[in-house]
Amino acid sequence: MHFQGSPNMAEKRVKLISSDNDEFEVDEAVAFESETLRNMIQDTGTNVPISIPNVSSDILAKVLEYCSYHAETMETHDDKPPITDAQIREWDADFVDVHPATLYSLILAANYLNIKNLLDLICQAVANNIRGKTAVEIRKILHIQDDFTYEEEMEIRRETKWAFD
Amino acid sequence: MSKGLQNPPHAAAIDTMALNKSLNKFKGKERQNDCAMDVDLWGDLQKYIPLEMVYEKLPLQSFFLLREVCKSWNSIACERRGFKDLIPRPYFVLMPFSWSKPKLLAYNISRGEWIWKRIVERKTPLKPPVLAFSLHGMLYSSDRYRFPARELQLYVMDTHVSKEYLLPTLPALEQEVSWDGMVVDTTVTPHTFKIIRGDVDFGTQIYDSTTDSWSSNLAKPSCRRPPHLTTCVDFNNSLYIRSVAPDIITVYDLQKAVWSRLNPPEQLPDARTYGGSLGTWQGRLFTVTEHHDGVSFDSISVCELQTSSLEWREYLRMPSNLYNRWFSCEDDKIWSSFCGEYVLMIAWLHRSCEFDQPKHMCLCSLATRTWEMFDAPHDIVGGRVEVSDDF
Repeated sequence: MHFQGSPNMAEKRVKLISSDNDEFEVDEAVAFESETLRNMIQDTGTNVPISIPNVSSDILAKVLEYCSYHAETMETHDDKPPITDAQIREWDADFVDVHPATLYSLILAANYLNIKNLLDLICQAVANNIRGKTAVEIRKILHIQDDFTYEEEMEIRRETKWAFD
Repeated sequence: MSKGLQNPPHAAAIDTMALNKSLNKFKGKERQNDCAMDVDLWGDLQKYIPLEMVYEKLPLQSFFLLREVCKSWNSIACERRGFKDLIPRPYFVLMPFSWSKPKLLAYNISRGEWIWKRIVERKTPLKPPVLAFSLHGMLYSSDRYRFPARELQLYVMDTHVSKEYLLPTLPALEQEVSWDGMVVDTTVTPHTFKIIRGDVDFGTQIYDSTTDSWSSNLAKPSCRRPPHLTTCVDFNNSLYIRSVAPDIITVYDLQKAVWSRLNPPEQLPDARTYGGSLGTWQGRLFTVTEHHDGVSFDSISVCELQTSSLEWREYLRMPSNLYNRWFSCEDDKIWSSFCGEYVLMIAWLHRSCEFDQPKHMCLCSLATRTWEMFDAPHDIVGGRVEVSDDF
């Protein structure tokens, strides 16, 4: 699978291998969107394929789609108008408009590959998913321990009394 | 804290949640996703990332409500919003509404409503076009019309502690045009500040609240047109002052003591925007402009200064459905105000200076890139604003 992150022919290419042994080839600039890959490439160079053992092909494809798009937005072309922030936001919003299970896998991949903007984007999408839920529901979904004492909880409830009217 | 006047019942109608949801980009899939968040899967998320990364991206109201999930979320909420502070963030000192009685707009956490808080009244009311602005809850104003002119009095009101500073007499009194700005040290309580007054004839005079004295130098701003409706901000050791009529930004380098000019974001044609305020967040400088698509105004943009090129680049744009519904009326003026990561956009109806009425308000978060609409808490009929001392 090939991703055209940049038309720059002088660009080095990087080979990546997913957990299910699919090989991906991308421009170095695309891989550099990931801090983890950047460090690996700087250590080992671009000759050796880089193995990413905990990211599956479908998720890696999706992550690289994100990286190529964002690497491209950094490029300037004389013949094309620059991509506006509004366009980028629209693209990003479409990108995270996926099933929660995919979103979940994307978070883990973005975290492992250390792509800060992608991680931020997905966390925002998750926040949008949980915003209408109650504290009890959220604790249940995210397995969060209710660590307040009875008194502390009562105090917070007093402060938020309006919400339970 | 004393219990003040209650808001009139109709002022409590806040449509934040409803609008917020309908405007949300992700709304389309939200309901569908609700059922689909698999507990077995998401329950493991905290093994990989701190859940606070998700929590802090919630919009204001959910952010407040969901602090009861756990201690860690609660402490983030307290820290970021300053729930325990006298004035929890975000809050806005609103000029130029009701000049004689500037007010503070804050979010009442116990009621979940935006409320007005009266700022301690001055003996001499402010009158337009007096130079007045606020920064970090410090309100600067002057009595330009006091006679004899030699006795021009400058004031700084610290709204956090309700204390008013009367500045000592200026060493040299300007006759015509001065560009005034303020830098505030928010790391100390009460905040200390400096007033920088750049006069086109006399040079620069600087008041330092820690020494309660003026100093001066010969640096002069080059702009001879009197600024009007200014906001200012301290950024990278420089003071940036933006006047919206005329639309000019002047910059005073605090180390080199030099004035310079900076182009505001381009607005074509001449914008009706009244409130291109300045603000800083995470060491970045922002301002607000009305966006023109070549045919007509179609949105409001928050622009960020690119420090390398000194050009403004759009950071965030108000969704067009929101703009068209609430902010596109040509009879309205637009004002904006920054508080940390929050930017408040206001459409207001200009009748007279004493009875300006904010109509619609929209809170934008630079951190989460979200927009929340709410009705301005005010009494339209009487032209008076009920205020509360209660937080």
